[in-house]
Amino acid sequence: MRSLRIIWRILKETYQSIKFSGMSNFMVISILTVTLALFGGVLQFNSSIKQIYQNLDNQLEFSVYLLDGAETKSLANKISQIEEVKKVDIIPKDIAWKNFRAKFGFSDEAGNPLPDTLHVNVKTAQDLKPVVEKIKNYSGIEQISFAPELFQGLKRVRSILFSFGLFITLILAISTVTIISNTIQLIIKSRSLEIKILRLVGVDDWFIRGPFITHGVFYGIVSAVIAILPLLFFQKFIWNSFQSSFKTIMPLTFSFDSSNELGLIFSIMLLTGVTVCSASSYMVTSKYIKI
Amino acid sequence: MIKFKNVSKFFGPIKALDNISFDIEAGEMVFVVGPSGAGKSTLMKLLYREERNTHGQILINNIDVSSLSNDKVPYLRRRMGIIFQDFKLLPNKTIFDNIAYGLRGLGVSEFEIQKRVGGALNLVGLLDRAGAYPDELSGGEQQRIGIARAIVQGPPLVIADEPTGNLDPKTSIEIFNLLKSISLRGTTVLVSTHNHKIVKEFRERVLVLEDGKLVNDTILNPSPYA
Repeated sequence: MRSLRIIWRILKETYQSIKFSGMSNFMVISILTVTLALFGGVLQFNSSIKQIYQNLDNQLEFSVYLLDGAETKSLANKISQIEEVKKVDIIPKDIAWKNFRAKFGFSDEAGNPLPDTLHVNVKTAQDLKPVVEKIKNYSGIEQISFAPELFQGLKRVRSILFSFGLFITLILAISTVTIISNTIQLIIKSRSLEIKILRLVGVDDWFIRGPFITHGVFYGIVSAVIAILPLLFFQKFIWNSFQSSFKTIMPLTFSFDSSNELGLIFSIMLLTGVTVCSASSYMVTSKYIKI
Repeated sequence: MIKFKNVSKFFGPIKALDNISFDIEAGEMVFVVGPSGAGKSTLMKLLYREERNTHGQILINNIDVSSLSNDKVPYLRRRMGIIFQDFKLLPNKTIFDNIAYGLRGLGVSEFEIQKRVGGALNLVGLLDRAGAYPDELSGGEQQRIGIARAIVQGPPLVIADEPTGNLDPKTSIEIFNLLKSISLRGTTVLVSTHNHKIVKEFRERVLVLEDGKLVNDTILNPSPYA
């Protein structure tokens, strides 16, 4: 019962401490939110790209762009004879051009630069590369586009962005720790009389330090909750950008489920925020509150 | 109850207390007098472990305060009440909350707090001012609140460090009388002051400090009840 009373009173003291901090709360939460959002964004970007790779590796489709004057129907027939091929769709260049113009708002004046295209479906993901290898040498074929090959370059971009993002996050995290430490230090100084009274009546050390540490925890929780909001939109943005960039040039048949990933990212952000803030507060209280 | 054995305290090269020894029995009221800088406050601070002695031994109820680990200090302080010259009242809290503040930190129930704070305020004669704020009270009244806060836990030892330093002579005598009444209830009371004149009006034991040395330990005008 006594412990519960003390916990309740620590929470009340925390509330007082937060109320007292006024605009400092806003400043700390703002910078911590930006830091956590950036950190979460880096994790999310990395995770999304990883998920896209996994899906691309499982693709059953690829596109074959034909040279002008090629025998479209006979080539389609020839490809459909291959045992591993399930289906071949012919996309005449007129239809492809019409779709392209509709999507990007191009005028017809320049003429149709697109070739006839075949969308080839294979039976299993393992069949994709052997089939591509087989038909690569057929005459009348200008280019074959299939997902795993196309996205090899993105792997390098992903790695660079991930490292850069983490570096920026680290810089911001150091700034955040400094600001939190200063804020808590100011509160400790302004409440020095209360702290002194508590010390001299024999209140336990953890009761005196507790409200400052829970104050830090409060910063971590609020910032993580706010920081997750832009990430919900960022997730949609990544997927929409990916789709609009690549779906016009090749058939893609996968969906994107981000709910589990987002839950995990939020948990990591929350844990990081709470840990960093409470550790900063603890260090400051250890330094400035003596028995 | 309190034993000082060859206690010295240095602040760098400055000797604040020099080889002090004395004993105080439970229930005694003892004045520690001396001019500013004599070492009175340092002696008080050693008792509630705000400072550590450099040499010697300080025992309170046979507990060696000098070698007490930091985590045990709160337990020591719960067994004593401390009164300050500048009252140390929280201006944004009512008188009731000022006295209850430490008890809340100790996890005492609100029912028990009501009872104890009421009792302490009654003892210092300010029960009707429980809802007031410190700046609505006179200096003497504020010090009475400081005393109420010190005794609210019912400690066996009360340490008053220059409790009348900011008060006029008439109010000072009232405060000393109040401390005397607390002592008569069986509490050991140790009061530091530079005011020799007022101390002489009380028939109590006096420790005289000069330049960190204990130069006299006498009972002035022994009481017929002692």
